[in-house]
Amino acid sequence: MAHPDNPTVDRCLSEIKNGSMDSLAVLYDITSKPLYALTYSYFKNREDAEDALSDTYLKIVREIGHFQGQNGFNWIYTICKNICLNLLKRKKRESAVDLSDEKTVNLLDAKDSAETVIEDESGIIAHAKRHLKTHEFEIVMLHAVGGFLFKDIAKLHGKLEATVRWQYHNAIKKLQKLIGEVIL
Amino acid sequence: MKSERDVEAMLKAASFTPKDSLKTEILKKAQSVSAAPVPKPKRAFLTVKQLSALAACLLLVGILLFGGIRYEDYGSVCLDVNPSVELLLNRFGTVHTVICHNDDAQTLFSELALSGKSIETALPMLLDTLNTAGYLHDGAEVCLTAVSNHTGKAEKLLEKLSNEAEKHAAEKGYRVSFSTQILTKEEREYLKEIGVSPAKYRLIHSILSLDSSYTFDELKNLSMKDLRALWKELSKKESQKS
Repeated sequence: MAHPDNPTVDRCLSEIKNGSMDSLAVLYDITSKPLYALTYSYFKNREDAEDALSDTYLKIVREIGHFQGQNGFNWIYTICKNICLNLLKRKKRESAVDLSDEKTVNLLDAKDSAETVIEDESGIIAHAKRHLKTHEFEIVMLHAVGGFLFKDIAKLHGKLEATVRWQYHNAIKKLQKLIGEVIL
Repeated sequence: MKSERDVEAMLKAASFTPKDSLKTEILKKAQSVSAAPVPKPKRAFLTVKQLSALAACLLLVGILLFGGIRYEDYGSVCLDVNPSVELLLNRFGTVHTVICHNDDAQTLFSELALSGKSIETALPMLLDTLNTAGYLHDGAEVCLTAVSNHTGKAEKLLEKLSNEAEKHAAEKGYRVSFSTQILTKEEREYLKEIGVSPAKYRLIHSILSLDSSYTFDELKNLSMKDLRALWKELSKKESQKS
């Protein structure tokens, strides 16, 4: 999947600024996958990730007056990330852990069963979520699933591109090893 | 065992999108959301008391910065040709330890008194020694790596060092080119763990930028000669495209 190029996103945002809701639909089509990858990397469950995604687009409409006309994708990425962080803080304050309300997608559990095969493509993400560190899971979601380029992830996170690449490769190696330990 | 590429392919192919109805829900809610007015920025007027306090702060910051510049903590500087040597710097930018990473470097540099010298003095000494030993020939590339978690300072150091290295090489007639990179301390430790020199890491990174179908593990097992040949081939293809 190609990373949504900024000129297309900028055009959509400018049209939304002029009141076009059709452009919001187009914006959703081209940006929802990478943004969903980002929200999922934070919440690790579909429901909260979708809530955060929904809040992101509504905030874009509310704050469209602040859009400067360029670097649109970076702008909406920042909105999305801040929404995720604020929601996470709120959830920490509000909730006690309720295991009966566990929302985690859990198709496979390699810990409980040594004879589980990861072939279902959704299972690989659940596996990554369970076994990778938070920053590794985020980079894997952004690059492999969301299609973000390493240099963009590096810029957005204030890291060197080489560092992001190294962390990504480390994470993939971990997954490779973990998948290799699952018996057919 | 599945390869790294297989794992990446599984991730990329994962059917991973929000629920189908989400788009409709968002567009419906958006109809009733109105854009917030953008507030005009207020002009700030400082009182005399505030201005005096600000001036005092700026003066203090200036003193601290000026003092601080003399006490920079860079980490280390690596120099790779084939001999691979690492100079650990103290906070004054002076060499306090020299680490030779291979036998060639041990042979060449063990007798060189670099400790206590500034990095700006040590670097030309290293280059002269390399030249005498015949390493700085036509087409030789010297890789300078700054290892530091302070990116801004590392960039400035690297710029200064590469300028001085090029100037020294030009004065002495050494036919050599210089490449530079910055690594964090964490990355440097990782490279030491897996036995890859900073120069090799830089070359691998350059190849991956041109062709991401390779993996780091595949490339790290190639020799520097093979990596350079691969990089030349990919660069040629890239320049033909443009």
